[in-house]
Parts: sequence; structure tokens; C-alpha cells
Amino acid sequence: MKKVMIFDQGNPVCMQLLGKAKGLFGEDAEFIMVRVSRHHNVALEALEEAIRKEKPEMVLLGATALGEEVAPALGIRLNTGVAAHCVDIVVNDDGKIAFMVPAFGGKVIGEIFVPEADGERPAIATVKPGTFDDYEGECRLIDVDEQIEKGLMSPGEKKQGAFRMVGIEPRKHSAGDIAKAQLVFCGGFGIGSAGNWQKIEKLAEKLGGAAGCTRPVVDMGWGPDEDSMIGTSGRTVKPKVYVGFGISGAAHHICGIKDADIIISINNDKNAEVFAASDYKGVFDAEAVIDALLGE
Amino acid sequence: MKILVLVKPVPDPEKYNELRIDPESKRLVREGVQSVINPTDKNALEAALALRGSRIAEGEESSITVLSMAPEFSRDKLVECLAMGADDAYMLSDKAFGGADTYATSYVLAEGVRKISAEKGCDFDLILAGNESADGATAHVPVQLAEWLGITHISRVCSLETEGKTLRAVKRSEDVLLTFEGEGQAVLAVTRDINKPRLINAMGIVKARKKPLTIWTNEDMKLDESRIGLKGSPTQPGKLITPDLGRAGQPLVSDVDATAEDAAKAIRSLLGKEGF
Repeated sequence: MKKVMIFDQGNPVCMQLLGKAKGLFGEDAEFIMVRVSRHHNVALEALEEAIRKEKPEMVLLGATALGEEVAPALGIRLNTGVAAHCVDIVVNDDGKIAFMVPAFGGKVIGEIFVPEADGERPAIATVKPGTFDDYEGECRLIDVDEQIEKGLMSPGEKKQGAFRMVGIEPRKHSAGDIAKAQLVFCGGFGIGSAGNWQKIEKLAEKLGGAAGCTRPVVDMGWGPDEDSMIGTSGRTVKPKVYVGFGISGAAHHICGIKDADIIISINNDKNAEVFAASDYKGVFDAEAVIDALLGE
Repeated sequence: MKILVLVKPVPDPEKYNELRIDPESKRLVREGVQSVINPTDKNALEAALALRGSRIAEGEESSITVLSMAPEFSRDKLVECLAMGADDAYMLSDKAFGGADTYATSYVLAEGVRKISAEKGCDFDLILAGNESADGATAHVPVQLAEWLGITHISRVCSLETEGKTLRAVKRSEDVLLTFEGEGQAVLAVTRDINKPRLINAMGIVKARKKPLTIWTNEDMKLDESRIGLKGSPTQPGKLITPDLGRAGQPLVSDVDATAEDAAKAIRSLLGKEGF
């Protein structure tokens, strides 16, 4: 590996990717960071240009809303393969680079190769923030943001296409909390009501943790949105302690909590699948245990 | 307004715990796991139905075509889409399309869109899709289809409104909401919170039987075999593993007569040990 390009979109994931890439390919390889934290039409064009000029053999992007839109588009523009949401990148015994990619909610992980990758057709991969460890270090930087500010470049201006960005507003609900929380209380379908979701939020507030949920709780409209959803299509959490209430144990949720130090599960169904993936299990009515914890 | 909706039949996401890897063949065993329409694709179809409704209310003509690349046995999933309210459906079914990654899949779909447009004699004004499939969950295909067609794409669309001819799509990212407006062609990939898909009723099922459903193989599509299926895929799959996520699962409280209070006490004690 001679050259690796990393997309810096203003998210700490880029440093995690740099750390991982340096660990894999050593200091002999060249690492280039391309900084552009604008919407996808701009980022896509800027990255495409940087790749065509620099000819890296690998391009790594954080699997954020922006990265997830830019990476597959680059795949088509550069006629190359994209590995999505890698949980690991390894060099196998044959010296081939294998992207470890989850499927079926993380129930299965498959090796993905991009056999014809080279400087013309780099292997492209996305990785969710928090998958790799934080890293501090340096590498060459192509600062597109700065060039745009200085008026030296205007990627994506002409080719905005049929739709123009007309507004940008911060979200009320910041998505930062739950991924970093050391204590997570999580509600599943078994909590049964919007009232119990509020109790879980109260519990998290009282004990200094964050509240999360599973897909059915979002779908039922009991309160939380997808930001609070834990699982492969939602957030990945790595708390010291995770306490789940009324969680059935679907693969896509379990994969989102697998890195918790301690998993405690409360479910009134003694056959709940979540118990097999828990350190501690309690066959109890979720609401009764939540009430007892709130009452103490 | 002519709307195309992409759908994908997937193994029922609620049953992924039942999937196994065959120790001999190393292939995925999905026996007994039924196919369903990918959940987010139903949101895409619902968004299309709402749009068609509002366009027709304004006196404009509007129709919804559903497109899927899938094995022929999942034909009934497309009939379900027709029962939900789509006007016609196309399936691209051929063994030669199998084993494709998102690059080769989106290529076949793009060629499908071109062929349908040619047969109908007009382009689609809008393409809607679910943001990601439950099985592969790459979120690649809507974006890649747009790139093949050379049109705009916006993913993670959580709100779609129409004002006259103008469409307003809101993309939700981690910390901001981005609003896009336009009138021209685009592929919009929607998230599950954009709407609540309607249920299918008996009338819908009756009507669906009379709606056109076209199945094209590669004899109809005539695509170069080097560009489709596994051969046309720049990514190649290797080994599959099922990560072991099992843990001890010891009882929180050992007493069979323990109450919820006892369980809460045990949780408190574990939290205390961890410094909470």
C-alpha cells in the first residue's frame, strides 16, 4: 500500500481511520486527509477531484449521513468497489486486504475484497464513527474548506443538479450523547407504552446515564426518534453498563450493544433471546423493575 | 408526475436470529425465513402514494411504477406493492443478475429504468427508494442508481413536501437538517420516520390482480454478462463468519420468589460496583 486517502468531514472518525490505516500499513505509506465539511454535492466533487489527482489505492470515509452518500457515488464515478460499514479492516495471510462487512443486522460478517484496486480504481470503504480507537497524529492535509473560503475553488457549484440546498438548521436533538455514555438504559417493544419510555428517560437522568431504544419503540411512536435507536441501523454503544428492559434480542440490536462491558436484561419472557447475549438476566415485568429503580 | 419506486424483497428482518451458516458449504442458510418487502421501501412507496394523490388533486396526471431486481419467486412481493396502490410493476429476474454487489445491482436497475422509460415513451420525474435494505444495509443502491442515470441524489430524506411543482426534501444528518428544493429528476432515499406505510386492504388485493406486472430476464435486457452479477462486481465476497455474541446469562437474583424490588436492588448493586 503506497497511498491512503481519508475524508475529513469535520467528524473525529477521520482520526480513527488514520490511526487504523497507519496501524495496517505502517509509516512507509503516504496518508492524505481531504478536509471538506460541506453538503454532499460539494464533498463528492472535491473528493473525486482529489482522488483523480493523488491516485490513492484506498479511500476511507466515516459512515455518517455525508460519508454514506459520498462513498457509493465515488464507487460509480471511479468504477470501483465500496465496502460499507466495515467493522474491521485486516490484511489476511495472503497479504490481501479484507474489509469485514456486517450483513443481516450484524448476525453475519463477511470478508469483502476489491481485487482490482489500484491508483485508478481505489478500494473505497466506510466505517462507522467509534468503530476504531481515537488517534492523535498527523498527515498531509488537502484543505478544501479553506480553498473554498478563499474563493480558490467552488466544487459542486455548477453541478448541484436538479435540487439546490436552500436551508440548514441545527437539530434540536443532538446525537452525541448516547454513543459516549458509560451507562445506558434501553427500552424495547416489551415496555409497552409511551409512558414507560418516559420513565426510562427519567431513570437515565436520575442515575446519570443515557436512554436508548430499539426499532419497535421508534416505530410505535412512543417518543424517541432514530437518534436514540441502538443497533446496526442506529447507534452503536459501548457503555460500562447497559440495562435493557423488554428487549427481545433481535440481531440488529444485539450487534449495537456487543461492546458493552456488562449487559443486564429484564424481560418477562423467560425465553427472550436477549438473555443468551446478556451477563445478567432477570425474568420480571419491565415496568415493575423500572418503577422500583425510580422509587429508590 | 411519473414516479418510480425501487423495492427489494428481503428475508424478514425480525428473523435474522434464525439465519445460520452451513458448516459444509459455508453458505448462508435462510430456510424458513420468509421474504418481506424491505421495510423502508414501503415508506418510499407510501411517500409516492401521497405525492401522486396531491398531484392528481391538482389536476395533474400522476402514476407510480415499482421496480425490483429479484428472483422470480418473490413476485408476490411486487403484487403486494400493487395492492398498496402502485399502478404497475417491473421485475428484473435472471440467474445472471445474482451474486451482484451494489455496483452491478445498481447498473442493472439503471438499465431497467432506461428500458421502462423507453417503453413508456417518457422519463420518470422522480425516483424514490428506501434509504437502506434490512439485509445488506449498505445504503448504496439509491445513490449509485442516480449516479448511473446522471441525476441528483439525496439520501436520508426524512420529510418530503410538495408546493406546486417544487419538491422540498429534508435530509437528516447527525447534527443538522439540510433542506433541498428542486423540480427536476432525482433519486430520493427515504428513512423510516418519513411516514407510516398504509396497510393493504381487500380492495387493493382485488385491484392488484388486474394491474400489469412485467418480468424481464436478461434475454429481454440484453446486458453484457461481464457487467452483471458476480462477474460485473468490483467487490468480491470471501468467508462468512457468525460472531459469537453469547454471554453467561446468569440470573440477576437467584431466589425464585424474588420480586421486582429485589431485581432493582441487584441492578443498583451492580451499578454501584461500576461506580454509578
